[in-house]
Amino acid sequence: MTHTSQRHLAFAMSFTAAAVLALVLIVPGHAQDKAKPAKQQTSKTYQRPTDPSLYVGAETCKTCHADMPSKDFYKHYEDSPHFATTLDTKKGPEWHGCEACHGPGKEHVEGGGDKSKIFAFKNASAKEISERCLGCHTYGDEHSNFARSAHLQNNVSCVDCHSPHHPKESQGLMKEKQPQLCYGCHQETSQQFNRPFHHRVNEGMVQCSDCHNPHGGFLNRQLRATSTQDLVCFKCHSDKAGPFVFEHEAVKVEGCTACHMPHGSSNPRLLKRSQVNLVCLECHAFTVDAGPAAIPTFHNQAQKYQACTLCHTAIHGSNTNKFFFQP
Amino acid sequence: MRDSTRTSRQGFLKLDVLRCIGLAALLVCSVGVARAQEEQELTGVDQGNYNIKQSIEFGGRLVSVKGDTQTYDTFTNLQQGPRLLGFSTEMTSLNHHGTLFDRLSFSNFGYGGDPNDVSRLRMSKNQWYNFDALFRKDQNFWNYSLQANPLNPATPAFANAPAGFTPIISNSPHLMNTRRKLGDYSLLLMPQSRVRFRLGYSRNINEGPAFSSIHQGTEQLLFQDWKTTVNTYRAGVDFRLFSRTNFSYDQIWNNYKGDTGATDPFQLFSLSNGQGVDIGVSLNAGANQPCAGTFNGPPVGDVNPACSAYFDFFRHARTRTSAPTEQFSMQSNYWKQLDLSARVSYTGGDANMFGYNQSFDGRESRTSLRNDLIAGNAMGRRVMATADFGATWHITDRWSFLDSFHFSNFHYPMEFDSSECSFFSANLLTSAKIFTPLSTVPINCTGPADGTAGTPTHSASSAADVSVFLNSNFLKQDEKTNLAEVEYQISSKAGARLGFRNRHRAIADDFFSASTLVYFPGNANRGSCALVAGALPPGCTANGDGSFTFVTPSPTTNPSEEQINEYAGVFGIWAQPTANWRISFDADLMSADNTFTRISPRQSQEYRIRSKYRPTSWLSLDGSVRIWEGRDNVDQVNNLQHDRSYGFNATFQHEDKFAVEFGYDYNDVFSQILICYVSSTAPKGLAKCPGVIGLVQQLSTYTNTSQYGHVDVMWKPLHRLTAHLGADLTGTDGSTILLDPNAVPGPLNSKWLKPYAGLDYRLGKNWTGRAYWGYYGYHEDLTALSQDVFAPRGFHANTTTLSLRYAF
Repeated sequence: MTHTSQRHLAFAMSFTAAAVLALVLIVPGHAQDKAKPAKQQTSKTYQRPTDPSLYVGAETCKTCHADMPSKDFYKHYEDSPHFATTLDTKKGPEWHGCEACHGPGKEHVEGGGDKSKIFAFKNASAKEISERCLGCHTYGDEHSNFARSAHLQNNVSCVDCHSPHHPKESQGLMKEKQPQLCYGCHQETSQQFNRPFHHRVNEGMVQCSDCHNPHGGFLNRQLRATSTQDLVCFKCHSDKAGPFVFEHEAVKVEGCTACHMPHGSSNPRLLKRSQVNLVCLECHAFTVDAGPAAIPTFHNQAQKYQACTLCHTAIHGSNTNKFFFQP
Repeated sequence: MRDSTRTSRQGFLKLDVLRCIGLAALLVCSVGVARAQEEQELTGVDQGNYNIKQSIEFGGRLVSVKGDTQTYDTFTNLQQGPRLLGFSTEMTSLNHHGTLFDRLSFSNFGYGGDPNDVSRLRMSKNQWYNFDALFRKDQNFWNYSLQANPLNPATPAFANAPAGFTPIISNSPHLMNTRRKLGDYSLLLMPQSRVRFRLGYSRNINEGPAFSSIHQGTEQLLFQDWKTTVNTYRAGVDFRLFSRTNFSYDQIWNNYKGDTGATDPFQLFSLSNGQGVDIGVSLNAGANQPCAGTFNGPPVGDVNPACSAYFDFFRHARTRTSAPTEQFSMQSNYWKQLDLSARVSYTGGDANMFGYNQSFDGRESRTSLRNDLIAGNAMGRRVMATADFGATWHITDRWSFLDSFHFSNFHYPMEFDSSECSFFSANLLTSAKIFTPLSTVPINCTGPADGTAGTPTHSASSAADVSVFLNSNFLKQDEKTNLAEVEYQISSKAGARLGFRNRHRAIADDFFSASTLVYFPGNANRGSCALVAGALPPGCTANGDGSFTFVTPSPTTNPSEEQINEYAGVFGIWAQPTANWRISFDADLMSADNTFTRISPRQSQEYRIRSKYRPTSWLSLDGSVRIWEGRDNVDQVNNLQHDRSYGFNATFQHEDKFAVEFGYDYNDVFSQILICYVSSTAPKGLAKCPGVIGLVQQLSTYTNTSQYGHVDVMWKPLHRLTAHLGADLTGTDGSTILLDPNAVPGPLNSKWLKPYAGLDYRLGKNWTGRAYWGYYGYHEDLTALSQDVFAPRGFHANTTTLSLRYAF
C-alpha cells in the first residue's frame, strides 16, 4: 500500500469513527434530555436541577457561612464577581448565588449542614468541577476546548488555578500570579526562563497565557495563534511574519522552534546551538546550500563565517534577495 | 548609542548612598504603627457606592555595574533613577450597581525608566460590558558582542593601520536599541445576553535605532531606523441560539507596516584624497579582509583604493500587508453527552512593497562595481485557511471518546519586479565610467553625479550594467492533524487515556525567474553573455553598439512537493493516591515517513511525569520529569537528539510568619548530526563530503547541561517587618565543535547568578518602606582567544531599590 493510500485510510477511519459515534449519540442523547428528570441524569455532563423548591437562596447560606469555614467568608464572596449572579432576575434559582455552583441547598440546610447533601469542590474530580464551571464559562474560544485540554486530561481542574473564594489575584480569581502559578507544575519552564537569554516572563512583560491557552486549543502545546491564525510568535515579532518573495521555508513550515528555544536558552537569540553557523549547517550541509563547491574557500569556516547571519541578515525571509542578504 | 566603556559604571556617589540610607532610617524610625491600619488597607475605603483600594509605590533604584555594561543592558537593563514602581486602584461597587462600572481595576509598574512598563485597566458593569485594556512597553537593548560577530583575529597586525585601530569587534554588528509598544484593547457588550458583541483593537509598534550589515564586497555595518507597526481591528458577535450552544462570527483586519530603512554613516577611515570611507567589519589581515594591504602608507592609515569599501548606502523599503480574516466558531453541549467545538477561518490579504529603493556608492573590488541603484516593487497574496473541530463524547460515566481535528492551509504567491543600474570603476579614487548605449535598453539609468563618460571598467565578475528581473515564488502547506483518544476513569482517584494521532503535511513550492540583462563594453561578453566555445549562448544578442542583451529563454517554473505523514501513539495516566497527592504520566511516541529538514525528527518520544504532594498544610513537594528523544537517523544525516529535564520544588510555609521555597532543575540537551563544511583549519583526516567536492564531513555534536537552583526565604520576625532572602542560580556547561579558530564557547560555559535580599517595614498609617538589594552576576569561562581577551562579556551588578508604598 502506498503512503498516500495509507494516509487516506487513516483519516477515513478516524473520521468515520467520529461521525458514526456522533450520529449514534445525537438523537438518543437529545431524547434522553427530555425524558429523564434532571436529578436522575447519570451523564457526566452536569445539568442543573430546575425545580425552585430545591433551592434556598444565598441569604440562607449566609446565616451559617458568614464566618465559616473562615472569617468573613461570605463577605469575601459578596465582594467577588460571582456575587453578581444573585442579582440576576431573569434566570431561575439554579443560576443564582452559592447554589449556582454548589447545587441546590435545601437538603443540606434541612440536614443541619450535612456536607454530603451539597456539592463540595474540595473532593470532587476535575471533570465534575469543570462541568460546574463551564456551565457558565463555556462561552467563546477561550474555554471551549477545556474538555480536551492537557490540564483536564491530567486531572487538573479549574479550582487548581482559580480560587473563587480566596483569590490572590482579583482578576480571574487566580490562586497565584503568573508565572508562579504555572511554575507550580511546570518546573522545567522555570529554569528555562532563568537562563541568561529568555523571554521576559519573570519580569512581568509577557505572561505564559500570552502564548498558551491554559484551557486548551487545537494546536500543539495548547498554543494560541495570531488573529490571522499564524504562529503566535508573529504577534510580537511581526516583521518575521511575511509573506516574503523569498521565504526561508523552514520558518513557515517547521515554525520558529526549529531554530529557537522559545522560553529561554543559554545561547544568544534563544538559539538551539551556541554557534550560529552550526544552526545553519545542521540543515544546510551536504547540499549546494552549503556553498558553491567550485569555490571551496568561499564559505571558509575558519574566517568570519562564525555567524552566517552577518551576511544573510534577512534570514527569516526577504522580498528582494534570494540569499537573504537584505530585507 | 550608549557608552561602550567596559570598565565600570559607578552608578552613584557615596553622598547619594548616605542620603538614601539616612532617608530609609528616618522612615523606619519615624511613624508609629497600628495593626488596624493593615486591615484597613486590606478592606479599602468606602466612598459613595464604591469600595476603593489604592496603593502607590515610588522610590528609586541605585545601580552599580562592573564589567561589560553592554551585556548587562542586554540581559537586565535596570538603570538608576527615580521610579514609579507600582500603582494600583481597585473599585468595587458596594451594591453591584455602579453608575458607569461595577468593578474597576487599574494597575501599573515600571514607569520612570525601567525596561518593562505595563499598565492594565479592566472595567465591567454587570450585564452591560467588560472592558479590558493592556499596554506594554519593552525596551529591547541588544548588544551581546558575539552575536553576528565576524570574530576578527588580533594577529597578524594590519600594516600601516591608523593610530588606535583594532580589528576586534566588541559590539554586536546587529546591535538593537528598540522599543516595542504593545496595546490590546477589548470591549464585550452585553456579556450575559443571548446575543453579545465584541470589539477589539491591538497595536504593536517596534521602533528605534538598530545596526545591521550587508554583504556586498565586504560586510558593511548599516544603521537602521527600525519601525514596524501592526494594527489589528476585531469585531465579533456571539449568538446563543439554542440551549448551551453558542455561535460566533468575527471579522478581523490586520494591517502591517514595515518602514525600516538603512544607511551607512560609518565612514571612519579615509582615502589618500581625504574622502571618508567605510571598510566594513570583516577585518582579517591574514585572510586579506577587506583586501590585501588594507592600509597604505605614507601617510599611515589611508585606505587602499583597491579595497571594497563604502562611501554611502541607502535603502528604503516600505512594506504593507493587509489581511482581513473571517472567522466562524461554535461551541455546544446541547446534547448532554457530547461537547462540541469548531472553528473555521479564512484570511485572504495583500502584501506589497512598493517603491523599494537601494543605492550603493563605494566599490566592490571583485566586480569593480562603483555605483549601484536597485528599484522595484514586491507584491503578492497572503492566504490562510483553517478549520478545527473538537468533540468529546461521554459514552458512560467512565468512558469518553475525544476527537480533535486541525486543518490549515496557507499559500503565499509573491513576486518581486526590479531593475538595477550598475556602474563600474577601476578603484575607489576614480569615479564610474558611464556608457551611453545607442541601442534600446529596458530602462534608462541615470549615472552618478560624479560619473564621467567613457567605457566602463568591468572585471570578469562584473554583473550586467542594466538588469531587469522578475522573480516569482510560491510556498504552500496543507496540514491535517487528527487526534482520537479514548479516556477511561478507573476510579475517582485514577484515570487513563490512549490515543492515536495522524498528521499529514503537503509542502509545495514553485519558482519562476526571468531577466533581461544588458552588458556594456568593455568586456561585454561576460556573465550570461560570456562566449561558449566562441559563440553567444542562447538568449544573447549583439546590439550593434558593442553591448549585448540577454533575455531569459523560455523561462520555466520549478515546482516541487514534499509529503510527510506522521503517526503517533499517545498514552496518559493520572492518579490521586491520596487527597493531597496527584501524579500524572504522559507519553507521545511519533514516527514519520519523511522530514522537511534534517533536524526534524523522523521518530520522537516524549515522556512527562508530574507530581504534586501536599502532605500537610505547611509543606508542598513537587517534582517533574520531562524526557524528549528525537531521531533522524538516516544515511548522511545521523541525527540524534535529546532534551531531558528533572526538577523538584519544596515549599514550607508556617502561617504568614515564615516560608521557605527551594528547588533544583537539571537539564541535559544533546544533539549529533553529520555536517559538511569548508575550513582551512578543519581537523586532518576528515572524510570528504559525499558528492560535493571541496567539503569535508564531520559529526557535529552539541551538549548543554544546565543546572538551576533557587531558594526564597520569607521571615516575619515582627508584625511590621518582613525579610526576604533568596537567589536564582544557573550554571551551564557544554561542548560543541568550533569551526572558526577564533570562536569561543561564550555562554555555553557560563554562570548566571541572581541573589537578592530585602526588607519590608510597615512604617505607620498605610505606609510601608522597602529596601531591596539584587545582584546580577554573569560570568563566562574565558579563553585566551581575542574575543575573550579584548571583549569579555562578564559583569556583576548591584542594584538597590528603596521605595515607599502608600496604600489608601
